[in-house]
Amino acid sequence: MTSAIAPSRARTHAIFWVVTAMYLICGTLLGMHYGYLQGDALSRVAAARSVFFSRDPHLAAIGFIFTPLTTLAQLPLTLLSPWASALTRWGLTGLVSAPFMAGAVVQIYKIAFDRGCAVGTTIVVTALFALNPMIVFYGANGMSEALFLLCLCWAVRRLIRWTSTDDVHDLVATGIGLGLAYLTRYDALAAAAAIAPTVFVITALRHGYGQWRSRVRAALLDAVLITAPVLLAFGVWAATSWLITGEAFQQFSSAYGNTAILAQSGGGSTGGRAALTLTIGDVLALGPALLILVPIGVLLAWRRRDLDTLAALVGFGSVLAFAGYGYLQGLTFAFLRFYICAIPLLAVVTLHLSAPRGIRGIRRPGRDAVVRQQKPASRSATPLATVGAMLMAISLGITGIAMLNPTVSPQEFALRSIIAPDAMDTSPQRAGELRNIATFSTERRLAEYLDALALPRGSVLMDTVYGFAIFVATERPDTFVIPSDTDYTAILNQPAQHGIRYILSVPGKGRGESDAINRRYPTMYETGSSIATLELEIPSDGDGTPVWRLYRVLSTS
Amino acid sequence: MQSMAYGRNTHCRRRRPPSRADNARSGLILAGAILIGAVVFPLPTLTMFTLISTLGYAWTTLDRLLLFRRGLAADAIIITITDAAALAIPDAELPEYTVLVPAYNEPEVVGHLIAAMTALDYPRAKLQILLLLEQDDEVTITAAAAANLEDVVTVLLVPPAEPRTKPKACNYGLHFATGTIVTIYDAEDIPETLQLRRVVAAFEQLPANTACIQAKLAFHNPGQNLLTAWFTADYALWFNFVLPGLMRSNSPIPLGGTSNHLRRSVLDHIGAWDPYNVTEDADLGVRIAESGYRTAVIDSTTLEEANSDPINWIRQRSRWYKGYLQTWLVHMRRPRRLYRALGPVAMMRFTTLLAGTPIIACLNMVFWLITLTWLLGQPALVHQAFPPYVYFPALLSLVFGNFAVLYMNLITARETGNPALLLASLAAPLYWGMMSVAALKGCYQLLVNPSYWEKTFHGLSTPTTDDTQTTT
Repeated sequence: MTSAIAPSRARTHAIFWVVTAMYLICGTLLGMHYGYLQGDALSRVAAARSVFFSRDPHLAAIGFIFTPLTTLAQLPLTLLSPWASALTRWGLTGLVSAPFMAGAVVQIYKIAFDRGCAVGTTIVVTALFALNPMIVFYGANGMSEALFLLCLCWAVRRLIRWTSTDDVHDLVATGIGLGLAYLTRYDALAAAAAIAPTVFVITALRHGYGQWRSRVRAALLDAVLITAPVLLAFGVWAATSWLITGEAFQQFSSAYGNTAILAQSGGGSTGGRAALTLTIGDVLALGPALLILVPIGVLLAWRRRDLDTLAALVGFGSVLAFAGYGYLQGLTFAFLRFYICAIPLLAVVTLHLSAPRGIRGIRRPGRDAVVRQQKPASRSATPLATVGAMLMAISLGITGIAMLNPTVSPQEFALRSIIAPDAMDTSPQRAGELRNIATFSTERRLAEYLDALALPRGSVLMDTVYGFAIFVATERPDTFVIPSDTDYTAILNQPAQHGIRYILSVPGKGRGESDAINRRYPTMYETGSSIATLELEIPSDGDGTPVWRLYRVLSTS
Repeated sequence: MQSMAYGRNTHCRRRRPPSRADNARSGLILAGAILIGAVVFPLPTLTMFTLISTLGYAWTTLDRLLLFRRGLAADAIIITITDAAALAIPDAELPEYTVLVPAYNEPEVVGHLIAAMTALDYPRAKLQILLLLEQDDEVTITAAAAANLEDVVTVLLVPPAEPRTKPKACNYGLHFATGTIVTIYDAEDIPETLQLRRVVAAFEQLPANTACIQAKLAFHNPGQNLLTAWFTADYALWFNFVLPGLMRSNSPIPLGGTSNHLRRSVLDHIGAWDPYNVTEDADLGVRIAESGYRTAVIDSTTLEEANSDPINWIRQRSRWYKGYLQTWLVHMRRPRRLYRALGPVAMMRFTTLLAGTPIIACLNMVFWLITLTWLLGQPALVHQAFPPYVYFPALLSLVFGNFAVLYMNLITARETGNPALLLASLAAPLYWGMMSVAALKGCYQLLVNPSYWEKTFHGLSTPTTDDTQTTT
């Protein structure tokens, strides 16, 4: 058994806090200084805010379209919003995503440590991962990617450990990591679906003694240990959703779910070669060096009889493959962030260029534990590791450039105007970037306008499909009647009788189709549906946000 | 010797076990309080009940997970004595050893006994094996006589007197014991052959305040049917992980019914077995901790026969639950003294283990039924009894508590080299149903017939050699 040395606690803490601070500063600058906010991050803040400060505060208001962990993590933050509404208004969710992404960085550091890499390699690779612009951006902007990467990196690290420790603790941690990852993003199902059979095969082949029956039993048990936490997460989430909303899988069935969003906004792929090219392009934009390092890594792993690299490829690769498959099948969008796992994969493959040394700190070595060479890691990196780190550095530059390209990077390209502002530039690309950054500024002004009217509680009816941006910006969240309120349908049917003075809506095109007001009153804009009259029409300054329409509700008398 | 035994007896007398009247009185007071609450403030009483239960569930689950985690670490302090170290002790240095084998009405296991006892690697001259038979148990006495036990075993006839319990027989046997270490085996047990030598070596290594060394118990018939598989998983979890976890946490350890090896001198000091307690082993374990002594768990396994018949199993389990609760009540008669001896954490653990185990098993049935009615009809009463601050913790506790136990079973199956228990582990909720029935029976019996000994019938299995064994 190896000696129980873990990476120095002080060093791990130092990495964590320094990186957290870095992402936080970036997040604060992006939000408060440039007003550059991400819709998906903001809509989760809105959900979290509605749990405590909506007209009808209750836990189920977090919503059931997306898995809940990111929103749950934001709950403590939104608790402070009555005293500091800027927290929600500017989507300062970096406060949540920064420590999560820093956690992912720590996981990469620990993978290097488990591998026994040279100090130089460990520091350089960890730093290159932490400073990758995509990692910095998603550590700063409050999106669910940070938490997802943390969970997945943790699961993969423990899986890598398991291949040589055979420690049940590692097996269990992998399962729990995957379960938590599922509660953050659905993509984790792909990882679980790939990891469980891998574990099954490894155990079945490794249990070299005994009959095939006992081998299969042992392998099955290991696979069950990995999948059980994921199944629990899956079951609990589906059951909760079913108990509260009557539908187990709102992601697919709801008018607000992913399936509906795709149908309404277009942008899904039509398959074929173009889609495949875009998918591969996305992966390579984030980790171009994978093209060289994966074949080398696989070859080395084969020669060394080393399962570490296989574990990393299966863990991260499955999520990449799933994102690609989803896009090819027209099930999802070609967002660059769906391929973010290419970055940790690149880091881990680079680390695995160094030969494996003893893993430290095994709590309970399993029967099939592999004894590794205990030679202490030398201070200097091997030539191969140095080449790997250099390729990783080049990779980072390419990713940075790709992120500024609107075709490859539809959600991040506006960063160009933040990094390299140029007031004299009047090109359409520049205009597009500025519009993109200005997204949600109209909603903030609309919220200010409504706040200034000092309307009574529960007097503005809207849907949160687009209204989330108003809901996070308002100082008076209980003015609004939103779909998570249990009496929403009743109020929607008879707004005036329930004290509604204004109705906020958007045109019934694109995702506006799913807006509850448009579904209930399809001719609202044309006729007022005999309940309201158009008071204001507010064009949006932003990119992809619709024209807002403020209707005054006719009194019932 | 006589005076020592006398002293022990007075000790036992001073620590009078609760009479039926005591139990009835405390039970009545509690029931009365609940009844008054239920009549005057029905809903708050109900809500309070669900809230307290939920907190109890959550605490017990978390504590069990903590113990399991501590016990799962490779360096958990299970005492391991290698074969070489056990065999290295010269016969001359081995102490006198007494094995007590209480039996009642089980002629069929006498044959097993000879085989198991002969197999023990210990010098005959220093090993005293006392087969304790009730004087009126003619079938077993006849079987013992027919089996020519005399070479190996001394048959000791226990005078027929109430209470007819195993601890009373053991107390009687202790008068005739010559060993400085005393242990108890059931007649059908198959102890690992070097166990006694290992224990001697362990006592030498361990601190002087170690009063007892508990060997691990496992079953030789896990594959007989689903029930024996469940029981095996249950025992494997308890002896391999929870007991070491308890030991590591310096908590009182409820001893397993057999294979606990005790220092005679300590028994003379703190008293032997409470003849009125139906889990005298658990009671002794707590008394050991309460008196400032310690219990260790040794890596040596005694194979027992897992109960393969559901009715028989429920009888046995109901006795255990009853005894646990009884033990808790006995020791809680002087809560302040117990608190001073154990400290806050061990006191809580003593409560969750001995009172919590049977009570929770009873409550399970109640809450399963509530859950069922809730799923079927969502009645308003359930809705009112579970306001959000109870509902969500209760839901979490339901889901995660059940999952945690199931998952611990799976980990146990892997770590004890018993992957064949996978299906049984997954089907364990049915086993919990049986546990609940047993707990209800045990708790009811505690009120009406506290010292009645539910006899477990042995010899229902046909041990085969290729059965997988629960060993690590």
